[in-house]
Amino acid sequence: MQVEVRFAGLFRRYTGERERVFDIPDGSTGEDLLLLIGREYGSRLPKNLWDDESGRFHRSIRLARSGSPRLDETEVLRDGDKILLIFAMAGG
Amino acid sequence: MYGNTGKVLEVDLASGQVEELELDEDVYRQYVGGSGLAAKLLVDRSNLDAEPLDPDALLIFATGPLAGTGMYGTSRLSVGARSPLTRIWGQASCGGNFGPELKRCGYDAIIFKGKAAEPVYLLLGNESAELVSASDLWGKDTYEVTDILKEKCSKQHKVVAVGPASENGVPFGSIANDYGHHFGRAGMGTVMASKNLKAIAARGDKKTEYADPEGFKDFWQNTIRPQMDENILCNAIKAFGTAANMELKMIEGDVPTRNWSVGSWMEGPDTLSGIAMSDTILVRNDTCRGCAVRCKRIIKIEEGPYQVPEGPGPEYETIGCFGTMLMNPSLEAVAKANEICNRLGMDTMTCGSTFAWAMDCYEAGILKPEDYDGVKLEWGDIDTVLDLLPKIAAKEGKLAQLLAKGSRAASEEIGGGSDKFLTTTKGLEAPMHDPRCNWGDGLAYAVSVRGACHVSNTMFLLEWGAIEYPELGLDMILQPQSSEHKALGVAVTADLGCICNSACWCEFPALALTIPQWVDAFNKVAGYGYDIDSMVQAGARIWYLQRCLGHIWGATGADDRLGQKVMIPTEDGMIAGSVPDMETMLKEFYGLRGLQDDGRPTRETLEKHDLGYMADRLGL
Repeated sequence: MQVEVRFAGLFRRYTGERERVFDIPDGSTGEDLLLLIGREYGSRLPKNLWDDESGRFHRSIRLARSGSPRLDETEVLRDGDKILLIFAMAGG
Repeated sequence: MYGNTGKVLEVDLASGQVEELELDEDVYRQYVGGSGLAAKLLVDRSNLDAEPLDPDALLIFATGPLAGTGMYGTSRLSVGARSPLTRIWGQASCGGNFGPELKRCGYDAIIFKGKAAEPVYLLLGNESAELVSASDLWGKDTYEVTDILKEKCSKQHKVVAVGPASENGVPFGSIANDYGHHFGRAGMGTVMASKNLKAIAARGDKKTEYADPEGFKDFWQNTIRPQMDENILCNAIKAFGTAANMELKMIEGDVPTRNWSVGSWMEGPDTLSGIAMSDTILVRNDTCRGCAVRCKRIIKIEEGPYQVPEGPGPEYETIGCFGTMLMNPSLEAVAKANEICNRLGMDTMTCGSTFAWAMDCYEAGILKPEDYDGVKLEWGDIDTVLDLLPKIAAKEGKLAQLLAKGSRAASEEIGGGSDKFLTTTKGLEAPMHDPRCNWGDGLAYAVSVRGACHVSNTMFLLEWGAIEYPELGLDMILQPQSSEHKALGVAVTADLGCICNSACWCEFPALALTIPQWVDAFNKVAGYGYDIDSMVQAGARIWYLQRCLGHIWGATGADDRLGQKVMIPTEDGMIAGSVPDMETMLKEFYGLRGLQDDGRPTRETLEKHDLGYMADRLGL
């Protein structure tokens, strides 16, 4: 199945892309998708944002889709999902 | 005395007398410094019946125990008074460089009382203070005044100054510190100008002693500093400023748009972000004294209709208030509005939000041009906004006089159902983080000590997952649009926010530290002898004290709510249909905080926080 991940703000800057379509196996979860994103773009990300060893992003990174402002990492994705990668840092 | 000087200056502007007060160490330990100390001094030394702009009303500047240590983010300064905008406890906090300089002059705080017969400024040196005529400065903008005083005194002098808006009684007058750092909110500049006090210029070289100087040096250099230097969140704003993620936030639905009408500006402009700024008008970073985060922006616009000489650029909140809120995609126009407000000394947040309210009213036919100088306030018409800014500061013209009141009072004037477009809590317009995106923000705004505010607490950082506080029971991942754990989150982060504003410690570098490290910092520098519980207790004590002041001045539990416009769900975007469950969160919060139905703390709660004297004042 395919899911489209939108990058905006800092992530757009880091990755150089606005969106990317990922081909993922049926039954993939949010966590699987984050791992794919991290492996794909990790080298372009600031230190400590992505940990290649653990395969984890910093805790402030999350996924969202319309109706689910924080997609649980265990949630199974659907074909055609439009996902937003959120790095929630903005000023006061 | 460690960390602090133990001395407070009290300046009677009417008589010209200046007195040094010595404070007991215990006062600092209990109220930390900064806004906590200001509130305590105000309660102890003022006539609480005074109206905000009465000569009797006090205005108090206070720095924190960490000022001058060189730790990132500890150069801030707090100012407290009864707010002319909200009429409750008003406080504002400013980065920059004045806090450490005040300490180098030998003082932790300055209390201003009375009103000078003619405009004056206060010249501070090593344990010296002199009131100097400012008749030649009155009417000048904050940049001009700063230039003149640095020329007159020395370039090393640090200056805080008010502008014409405050002089003319605009209730959201701000105070500038060296051009680009501002005590923005709640009209503290207006209080200052009401006393005929135009500016303070300070230069000193006194040193402060630390409780454990070698221990602090090691702690700072080998533990804290590396943590702050490597923190990804600090580095994000170092690279692109506070608006680094504006584009993402607009899509997420966190940035209020079109006066809180649009859910997520999904295909909105990518011109309003810190990234866009760095690609266009940014000249270089700037910073508060000693801080390597360097989140401030210096910009320059040389051509076109919105020229701005090299100088301070807009922050996230200003970009929201003059950008997305007004449907204005031009960052350059926002930068121009920022410059004008800085110079004239007006809070960009109240000002921009008041325009947004007015545009809603105009669209709804409530605000009629024929009644207000024939001016049409249309979405996206930033040129009309820019034209009106100096008129607001001068209160010139009927529309400008209306807008100069701030949105709550302006709504009271025009009526007609215009209150449904308000975003105020206790008279203070909400910041640019939407509670419909993150519900905890809603509770935080509703119960913040100065009105709708996201920097009186650190809830927004907690809710975003940017920080966790396992020692305080907050290490869970929070669901944005849920009430679960939010009351606990706001209760804890309100205390931590009070600590930050009292320590005059920026929340950005502070988020890189653990709570035990916060304790260590206070103990190694100021010898406060805290453990986690007593440190958090100090924060809670300050929160309750400032809340009690609000109640003395007329606030009630009914005021713990969001502005009507914020509670209307949007129909689009990622936050479509979302409305924070305020009832559930407030009920739980009140229970956690020992608040009665009328919003006042119980006597027992206050006594538990050494505030029995406030229980007496409230007649509990």
